[in-house]
Amino acid sequence: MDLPRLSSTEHLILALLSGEEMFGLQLVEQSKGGLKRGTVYVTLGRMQDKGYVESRTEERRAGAIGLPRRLYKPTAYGLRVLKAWEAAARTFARSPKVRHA
Amino acid sequence: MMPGRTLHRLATHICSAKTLERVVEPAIADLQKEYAGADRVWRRAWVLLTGYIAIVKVIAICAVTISPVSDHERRELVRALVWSGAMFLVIGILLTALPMYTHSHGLRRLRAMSILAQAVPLAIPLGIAFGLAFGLSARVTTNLAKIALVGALTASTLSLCVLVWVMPAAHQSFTESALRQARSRGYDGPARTSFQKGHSQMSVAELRAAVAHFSADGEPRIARRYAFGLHQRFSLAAASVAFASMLLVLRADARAVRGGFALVACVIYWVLMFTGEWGSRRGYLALPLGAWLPNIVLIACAILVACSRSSRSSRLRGSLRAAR
Repeated sequence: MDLPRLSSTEHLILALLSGEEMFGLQLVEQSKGGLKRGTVYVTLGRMQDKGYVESRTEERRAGAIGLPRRLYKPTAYGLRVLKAWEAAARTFARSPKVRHA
Repeated sequence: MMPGRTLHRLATHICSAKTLERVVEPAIADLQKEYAGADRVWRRAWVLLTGYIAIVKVIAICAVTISPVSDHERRELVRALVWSGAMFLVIGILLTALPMYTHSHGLRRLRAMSILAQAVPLAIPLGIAFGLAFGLSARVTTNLAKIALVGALTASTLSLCVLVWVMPAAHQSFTESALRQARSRGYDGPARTSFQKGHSQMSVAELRAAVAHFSADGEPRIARRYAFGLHQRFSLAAASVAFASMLLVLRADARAVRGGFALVACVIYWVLMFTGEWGSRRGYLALPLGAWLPNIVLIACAILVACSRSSRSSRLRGSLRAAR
């Protein structure tokens, strides 16, 4: 069975996105140094390929100039992976250390 | 004017449409939004600096990332590899077999080794050029071009190893054996210690030492000849990358036309190689420039062709979008 993998950066992004839909730059600002603006979109693109997040371009207002920004939100699958990952992290944090003879 | 347009244009050459849409454009959009919202000059300068660094980083990551190969791309790559291998063999055999028969039987094997060591660095770029021309179809994806360039880079590394280590050793071994055989037949020439190595027999360290020696001895013309030989070893090794970049942008539907492109590229390279040598030996060109002239010209032409093609296709996309 192919178990979904979640890196620490992907976990951080999913945790931040679980509250609301955000732009990449908002994610960088709210991560307080956990995410870099040079790599956040590469990670978000990879997460989109894995099906953890989905995106849409922002609605353009009249007279808006420049390229439209992209909004990201987690998918139902992404949220399930996040919950499973957090449950696994809690389980391993509670389990006693195994001592080898 | 909104910042990020040049980087967007650059990214269209390097990244796939999907990466451009998902990764590069959002980063540029962030920069533009931040720039428009910045009210002070120093704040705008800071936004531009951090934004450009981030976008360049994104584009660099895209440039070195190779997506999984599709079935069509795999077929194209195998075909290009087979064609390159076949062309390398044919050119290598032609370059080795023809001069070999001019030598006596006793030295034929050694002469063949010596000529083979000189033929391989020439056969590799020519094999790559004709292999890409005949093996790849007219429609080359960005991913395929990246893989082909990585292959050309590997071929260049192999070429460099032959030019730097194998060729001088093979050539030297042949010369020593020829001298031994000549002595056994009664030749009474100069002693081994006074035997002067040619630049193709010298290692890189020996070439550097020869340049320094002849420069100190007040022989600038001979020093320039050796220095040119030194630079040419590295430039000739890079020929595979120059040919690959040129032939990846010059695409045509007919295989014969693509073969013609490869032939023209080889002739231009050869003419520029001799022009560069002539210019640098007479002091009209700096030695590194003279040696690298063919690579510089071919890669510059490839970039120009790619840029003009991309601007044409983006104009076409723009007019299609407007029509919709």
